[in-house]
Order: sequence, then C-alpha cells, then structure tokens
Amino acid sequence: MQETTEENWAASVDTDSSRHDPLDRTALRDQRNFLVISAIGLVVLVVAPLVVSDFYVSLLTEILIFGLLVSGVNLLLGYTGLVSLGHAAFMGIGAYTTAIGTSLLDFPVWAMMICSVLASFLIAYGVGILSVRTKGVQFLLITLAFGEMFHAIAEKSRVTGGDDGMTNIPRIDLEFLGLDADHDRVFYFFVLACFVIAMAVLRRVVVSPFGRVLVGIRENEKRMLAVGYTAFPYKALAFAISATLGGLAGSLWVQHGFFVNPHLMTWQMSGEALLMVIIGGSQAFFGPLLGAAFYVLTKDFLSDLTEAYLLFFGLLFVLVVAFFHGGLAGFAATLARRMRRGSAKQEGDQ
Amino acid sequence: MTLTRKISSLLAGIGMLAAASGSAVAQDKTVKVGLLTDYSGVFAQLAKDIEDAWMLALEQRGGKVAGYTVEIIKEDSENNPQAGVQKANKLIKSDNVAIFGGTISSGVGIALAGVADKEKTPFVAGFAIADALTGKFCSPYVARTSFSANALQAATGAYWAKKGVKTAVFMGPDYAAGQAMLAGFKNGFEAAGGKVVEEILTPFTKTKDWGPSLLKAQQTGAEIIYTFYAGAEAVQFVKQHAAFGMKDSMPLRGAMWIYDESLWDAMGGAQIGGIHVTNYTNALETPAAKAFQDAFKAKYGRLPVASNAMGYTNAVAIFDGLAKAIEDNGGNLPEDKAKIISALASLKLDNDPRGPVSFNSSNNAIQQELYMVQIVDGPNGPHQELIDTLPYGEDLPGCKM
Repeated sequence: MQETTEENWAASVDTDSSRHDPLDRTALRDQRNFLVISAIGLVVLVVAPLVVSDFYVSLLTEILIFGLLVSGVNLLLGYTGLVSLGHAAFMGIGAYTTAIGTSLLDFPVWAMMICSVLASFLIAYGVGILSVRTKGVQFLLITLAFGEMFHAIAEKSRVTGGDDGMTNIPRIDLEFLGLDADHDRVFYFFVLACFVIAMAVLRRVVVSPFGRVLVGIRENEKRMLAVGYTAFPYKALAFAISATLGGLAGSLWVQHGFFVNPHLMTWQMSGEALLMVIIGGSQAFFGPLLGAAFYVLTKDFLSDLTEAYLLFFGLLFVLVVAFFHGGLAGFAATLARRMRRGSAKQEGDQ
Repeated sequence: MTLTRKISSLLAGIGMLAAASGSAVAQDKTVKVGLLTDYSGVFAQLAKDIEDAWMLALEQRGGKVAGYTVEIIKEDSENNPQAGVQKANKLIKSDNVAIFGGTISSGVGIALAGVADKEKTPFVAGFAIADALTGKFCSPYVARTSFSANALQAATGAYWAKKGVKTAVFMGPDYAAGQAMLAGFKNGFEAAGGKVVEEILTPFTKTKDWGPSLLKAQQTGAEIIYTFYAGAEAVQFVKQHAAFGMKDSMPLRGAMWIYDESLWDAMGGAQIGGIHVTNYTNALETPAAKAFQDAFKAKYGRLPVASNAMGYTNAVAIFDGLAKAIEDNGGNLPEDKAKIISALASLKLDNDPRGPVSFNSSNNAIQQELYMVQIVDGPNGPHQELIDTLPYGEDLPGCKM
C-alpha cells in the first residue's frame, strides 16, 4: 500500500500540466486499469472452461468460489486492515442455509441462495457489532471464537448429520434456460455469473465514499475520528459485507460438491483464506482471485506429487511473501510498470 | 435462445469427446480403479492397512480382472470431505476410473456417495460406518463392504440382552459416530428386553479424565458398561476403568475399536479379559481365514489385523464385481456403470476371511456373521479367542433407490 499512497501523492503534486483535479485523474486511471484487467480476466474465465478438461473445469469452479470468499476477506484485511480468523464460519452459514433449505425443507435453490446471502449478512452484522470494537490480536481471537462457536453448532446439529454432514444437495435449476446445472460447464458459467455480479457490487463498495473511509480507517483511525468519522459502524458494515461474499461462496460450494460438512467451517479454513489473500496480494482488487487460483492449482499439482505437499506449500508461501512484495498481484503490477518504463525509455532513446 | 442452443450443442460435443476417450481406454483392455482413502490424518495407519490388503487381493488375481489389466490410482482424501470430493472429481473426470473405493472417514464417505451418485461412477466404502451411507444417501452407484453402525451395534445389543444382561450404561464420545453407535446399541438391546439406564456422552477428543463419568456409571448399579471409544481415548478409558476396579463389578463391553490390537501395548494389560464384537479375528479357524492369514504373512511377514481384512473384502468385492460386470457384458466394461454395483451386490463371497459375505440388494450393504471375542493372556502374549458367533443386525431404514 505504501507504494500506492506515494503514487497518489506524486500524482497530486504533479499538477502543473493538468487542468483536472489530480485525485480525479488517478481515480480515472485506476478505473481504466480496473476495466482493462476485468475485461482480460473475464475473457480468460469465459474461454478457459471451453478448452480444458472436465476436471479442470471443476477446479476453475473451486477457484471462483474461493475467489468470492477471499475477496470478501480482502475487504477486511486489505481495505480495512482487520484480520479475521472466523470467516469460514460465514461460508458455512451460507452452505448450511442452502443445504437445509433445499435438502430438508424442499425449497427451490435460488430462493435458498438469497436466504444464504441474507443470513450470512445479518449474522455477520451481529457478530461484527460485537467484534469490531476490538483491535489487532483481540479482534483476531474474538472472530476465531465466533467461528469456532458456529463450527461447534454445526458439529452438534443432528438434523444435518453432525460431523458426518449431508449429501445429495441439488444444484440450481436452470431448466428455464434449457440448461442442466449438473453439467460441470453449465454450473461453472452460473458460478461465473454470480462471481461477476458480486465483484461488480464489491467494486462499487470499494470505490464509494464508504470504501474510502475504510481505507482511511486502515491508514489512521484516529485521524478519521478527527475529521468526523466514527470508525465503528463502518467497520461493522464492512465485516458484514465481507462475510456476505463468504455466504454466497458457501451456497455455491454445497451445490458444487453436492454436500455440506462442518469441516468447511474450521479455523484452518479461515487461515487458508487469509493465506490466499496474502499470496494473491491484499489491497489489489483481484489479488485474492489470483491467490485462490494459485492455492487451488498448486495444491492439486503438489498433492499429486507428494503426500507432504503442505510442507512445500508452506515453503512456496514463504517465498511469495519474501520476494513478491504485495503478493502475486503486486509482482504483476511491478512487472507491468517496468515494461511500461522500459518501452518509454526506448522511445526516448529513439 | 439460439445462444443457449449453441452452448448446449457445444457441451454435447465436449461430452462426446469424453465418451470417445473412455472407449479408447476400453480397447487397451485396462481398467482404472481408484483407491481413495485417508492417507494423511488420524486414519493414516488404517489407510495403509487397506492399501496392503488391496495389493494382496490384486496380486492374487494376477493384476487382472476378466482379461482387463487393473491400474490402481491412489489418492489421499486427508480425512477431509472437501479434499475427498476434489480427489474423487480428479479420479472420475481426469483419470476416468471405472470404480473407486477404500474410504475410511464417514464424513468423506457421505460426501463421496453424493459425488458418485451425481457423476454416475461407482463408489464402494471400505470402512465408513455412518448409517446414512446405505440409508438416506444410498444410491445405485454406492455400495459398502464395512458395516453400518446400527447393524453392528443392534446385533451386539440383542446378543447381550439375550445373554441375560438387563441393564447397561452406554459411554462414548459425543459426535456423529458415538451417537450412531449409541442409537444402534439401544435399538438392539432394548428390543431384546434390556434397558440402557444411563447415556454418558463425553466431549470428543477433549476428555482426559473419565473419573466423574465412571463414578456416575457406578452409581447406576448397571450390569455392564457398553462403550465406543477409539484410538487414544480407548487406551485411556480402558486403563481408567481398570484402575477404578470396575473390571469385575461392571465389566466393559464394546466393539473392535475399544480393544483394537494396535492399542494393546499402550493399555499395558488392562485389556486382558476384554470381550468385544468384531467382524474379523485371527482366531477364526475357517479355511478361508487361514488362507488369508497365510497369504498375508507370506507377502508382508506379519499376521493381518481386522482393518486388513476390511480392506481385503473391499478390494475383492470391487475386483470380482468388476469381473462379473465385464463377463455379463460379453467381455467389455458396461457403459452403464450402475451395472458394476449391481454385479457387486449379487456376489456371494463364500471364501472371504470374514466368513461368508453377501450383499443386501435393496441398499448394496454387506451382510456377514459377527464374532464375539475375548482377549486372553498366553505364553506368546495376549491374543484373541473366539467365544461366540452372532447374526448380523439390520441397517437403518430410509434407503430409496
């Protein structure tokens, strides 16, 4: 983040040749970059499933679902500067809401997806109100405690099979489009549609005044207080929005694997979500998606080679953190900047 | 609408490609079989036991079933349903396995049953005991060669009630398996005239001191404690029960987990005299059991344990089921893989080390005799002695296929 702030600063000093408000100019450039990256990313995500095998389509689906979860985590970690160790619980709440509603109560899947999103939002808002008054390690521990509490409830719940979980959970009915979501590619495009919508909403949140307040809180909470913003309601709402993405991810996850199990809600899962954000690059909008892709693909590749894949995964993680400032997204940005500078220099030489 | 039609035809095309690559495999006359089990996590040793038994069964068949060379693809489900589903997807979609099995954890087993059903690829649970696997979540693509919690415990409960035991305390860990074992035991015991006077469920993996629970059991004055603990919890529970001097006044009864052979060293003698039900014991004198023990000893240099026998039945059912399905289909793997499971369910494995084994065609679940054994000290150390045989119990209802 240091770099971006410096850049903003540089841009705001560099006003002599510009008639526009410098901040607007950076925002414009930022928006243009975002649109270019989104367009490229979307083309990749649309074309990829058509050229890879069935198994990789299911991995891509997993990447998008985890991408949703960790983009939510990033709203807290990257934008607001809060480290939550309980986010898997909200994925679990979304998952169990859909599973119970469709499998036990026979409601249609689309209705339960909406319920999952609402349930995770409301519960997370409650948890957020209680947790965001704390900071640092205390916040981490209180979210961990809430996460474990929801995990324990899922393990104890007999109607959902306790820690055995349940299966045969239906996928969304796309009959009205003449499509069968049991088909992997159809389901992938459905998940992609959900992902795109959720990312568009998240982007609105991030660039809105609300999102800027969150960044302000991360940078200096006391200063935000001095200029008239009470951090608490902003943090609670950010917590709820971030968990809502987890809830949607959970609802899609049960449809992807046809099953739900308390294992989804362990703190290890929350920890893995944090890993994905850090590997991909917190503070970069699409960093978490990169992290999720890296995580899912590397895990699949390594676990084919060795049973001790977690060891190698850990080493890779250390390497990424040590050498890629700002994660994979930061690395890509540095590369892009160097290339741009290189070509500018060449033009200058000529 | 034209767009959706285009997508549909594109998808259909991709499907045909996949089918074409499937038939290419058949021409090579190899059949791929997935061994998907919990190599890492608390079940690592059981997974190794299952794999050893699979390799023995395959070796005995010369690596072939009905003319097809068997290629076994091993994957680790990590005792984690998420990982299990991902690996099952790999086996089904990337490796094109005809069938997969071996699974230990009930949570993984249930998740895989759903995948097998949706992807129409047979799955044969090797160790998972959850009732729902052959009940609520049964499928024409799912079979089980282990047993269900209810069938084993109801049979045992009925056995003890018929032996004249009137009152029992149940003790076990408070999680899905513990609750299922309790329900099963209670079903059998109370239907045959006994009464479970107290149910004590202790926090799973978090209990270190069973003193208060044992005291509570003592105060009920019941005739036996029926219990389900496994691994480290079983060791501590058996030792504390002995230290309380309850071995004679209120003896422990249970199933194979509480007195598992691998725990005997750690129990330090507290296990001597323990009576429990099992589905395999080296004390079995049948020719099939002897042949299995000799073959296992010849290959691995040690006697098999119950989990080896469970893995063996799992592998034999899969290989012989495949062979039968291929033979029934004129020497080729059937297109409809449900036929593999129906062939498997029609097998009569009279020479299984666990005794004659068959399957219930209404839910593809195993049927076999059960054995009541006692741990006896001898000149060569403690060993199991067969004291009785009992009929298998019934699976919980709820299977609609």
